Amino acid sequence: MSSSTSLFEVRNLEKHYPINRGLFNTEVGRVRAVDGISFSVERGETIGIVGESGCGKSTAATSMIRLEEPTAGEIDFRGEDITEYDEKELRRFRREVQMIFQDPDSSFNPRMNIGNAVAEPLIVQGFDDEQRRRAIVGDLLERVGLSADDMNRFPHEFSGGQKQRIALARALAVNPSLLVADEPVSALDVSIQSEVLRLIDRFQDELGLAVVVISHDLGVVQEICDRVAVMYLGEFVEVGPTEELFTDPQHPYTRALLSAIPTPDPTERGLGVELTGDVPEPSDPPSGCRFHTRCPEVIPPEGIDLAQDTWRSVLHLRKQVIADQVDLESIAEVGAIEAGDEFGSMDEVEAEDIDNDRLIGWVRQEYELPNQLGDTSAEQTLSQALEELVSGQQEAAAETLTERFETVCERQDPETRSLSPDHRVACHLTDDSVVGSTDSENEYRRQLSSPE
Amino acid sequence: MSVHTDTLLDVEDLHVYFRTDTGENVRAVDGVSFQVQPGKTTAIVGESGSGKTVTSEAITQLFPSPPGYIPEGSVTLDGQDLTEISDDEMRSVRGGKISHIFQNPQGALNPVYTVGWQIREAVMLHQDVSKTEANERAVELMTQVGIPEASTRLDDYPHEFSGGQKQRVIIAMALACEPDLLIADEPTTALDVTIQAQILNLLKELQEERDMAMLFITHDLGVVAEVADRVVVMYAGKVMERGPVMDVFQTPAHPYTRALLECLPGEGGLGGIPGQLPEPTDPPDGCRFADRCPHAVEMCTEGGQPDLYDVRNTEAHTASCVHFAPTMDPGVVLDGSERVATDGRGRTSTDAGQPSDDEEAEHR
Repeated sequence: MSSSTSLFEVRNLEKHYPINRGLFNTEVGRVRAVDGISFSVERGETIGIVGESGCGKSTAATSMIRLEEPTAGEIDFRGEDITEYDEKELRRFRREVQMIFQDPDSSFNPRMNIGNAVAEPLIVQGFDDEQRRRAIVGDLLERVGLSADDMNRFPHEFSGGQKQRIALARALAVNPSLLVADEPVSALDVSIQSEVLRLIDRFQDELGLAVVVISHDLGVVQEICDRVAVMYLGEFVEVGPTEELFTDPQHPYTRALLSAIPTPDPTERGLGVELTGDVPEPSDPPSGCRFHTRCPEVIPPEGIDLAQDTWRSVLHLRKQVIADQVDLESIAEVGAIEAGDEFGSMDEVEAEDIDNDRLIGWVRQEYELPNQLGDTSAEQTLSQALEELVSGQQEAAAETLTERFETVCERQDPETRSLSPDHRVACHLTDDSVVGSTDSENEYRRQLSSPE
Repeated sequence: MSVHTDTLLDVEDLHVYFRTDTGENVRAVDGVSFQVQPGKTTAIVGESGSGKTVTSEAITQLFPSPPGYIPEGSVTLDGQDLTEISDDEMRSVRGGKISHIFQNPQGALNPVYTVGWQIREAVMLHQDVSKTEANERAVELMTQVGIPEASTRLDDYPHEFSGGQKQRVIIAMALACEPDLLIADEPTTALDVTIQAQILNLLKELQEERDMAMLFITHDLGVVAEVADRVVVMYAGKVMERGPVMDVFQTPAHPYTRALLECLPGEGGLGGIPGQLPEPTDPPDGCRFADRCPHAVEMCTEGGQPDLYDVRNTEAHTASCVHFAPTMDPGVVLDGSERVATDGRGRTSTDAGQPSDDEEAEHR
């Protein structure tokens, strides 16, 4: 049993979905939707979980209150582990914990009037007195800014914002102590968003409610949360007090998310660090730090001194070479077109017709690599690998590149470190023993810590 | 009606009504005028139900008709009035000169055809090319919109793409015929912030490359600040304020614009705008926003929607609010609240017309 006094505490929560194939339905893999997250919520506190689509935040929401069975982990509510609850205990627990969902349209039965919808949790919890039920429902509807007379109306008669308020009333019907809100306002207009957020905020004050808000919108989270957890591919990469996290983000992913928010200021255009691509498949997460495939601040290996964008290009080339996805034929074709006249007489340009040096130049162009890398030892490796690549030895090239250009970010899973008692981050950049071993890396680190 | 040489699209006093079964008219768009300049972006911003989407659909008459019809107004593209041309002519304008992209990328793609087929269709409908050429063009377009290994993805079905990539495919289709004007209706609302940033940057790049004009429909003022050259703020089928993006954000004039800005998360004003949109079948007299407006006076509820008066004597920036009429004192609105102009982080500068130089970027 936990000795802590937290209202709700989650430790190493995991939710994996097995991928089964074949005649015997054998498990061939696992989608690691939630892969070991820990946090706690106190009474009256709001914690936000943010991340892109596909990072597992909604699965985290449903499995932390056992709407879905978690694969592993402990979930303590008032000191009791709810993962050990049976059906009956679970029902009692549901009285304390309620959830509201993103889409207010589909979370109501279109044939059930609002009064009955809001009363349903009461019925489930065995509240038999109909008179009192109606009184409670009427009171709740008034508290969320509707009228008790609306009880007999149906969901389609309300706007999206009103429906979300009714959903809030329904969640509060059983007087819970924890509210889990999964994207509560992302389907609503800005002007309605702030109304609903204000309501949640008010109830929290009045009822001492603990709230977990799941959102992809950092603005929403900034508005109402005390603490924020940033989630990427099933893991928390950074957890900290809202203000600290917004003013001094430590993880490159947090920085990237923050810089992607459009500011309502036309004098300050240009959306900062642009993350390329989408979130990788959670069934096959990248090695080491899961964010390294998209990270704009990957740490170069010891002794290699390259500008970050060149370094990224090298990594990209390496990835393509390893996957054998460098299309020399099309590179040759594009190169020939750009070179113009010289190849004008040829109908089809084949990669093998082009002399190696020239083709290497085109490959460099394609992958946005300069003709000569700034770092001599890196240049040596790269030109050797390219030489191997164009002469058809893809495997050798892959090996050459892997050997030299391996970053700590892909090799090692970063530990979660505490910067202050309630600010945790999982990134090698915050680990002095990893970075700072050479002068260039020190310099690199200094650049990172002082933005622009 | 004069068409300036520097105007690509001129929407003049546009009305779009929908006739209901009971014979009433829903006045979705009720007298809207704005222009789009070649190579520039005009953004229409407003809440759900403000008529912004219907306005954009009216340009190429995409709204269902009946019950929808245009009782008044004109839409002029390159000197040609689009409200008067035949259906055949309109069909060549759609996708040819004007392309649309929509909010929900899933809904805009046919799930049973490959994306290659769908892009090819867009190309072949408007250009006399062979299937092979259309195929090449499809690959080219997909590469331009940033889909990696485009040639191998041609035979994939929409469900094999992520939401952001689907939106890229839609953009590729929209660009197939090199349109002069791209109408983007909430193109990033269904996407994550990071993907939204990618798509916005892509649209800006493509716009620059092709010198294409954009009409951008959104409810997000943050996005407006990011992409627009000119802004049109709509409410209940009427234009509340319009002007160059700098002016509108520096000196938001109409009380509605100011209320919208204050709703933005991070602005501290968790108030929302009290009240509801007026009934579209029977709009009230005077300013449509009057009964939700903190600065409303008696004359706000009389007559029609106020004229668009100049804000701070700049002709380009106008607001439909009686407080900006020549005999009135705009200070009631501008100084009435402590917010005069903010840099988007809730900081205020007291002189809205003159943003101080030291307002430098603070890392968020």
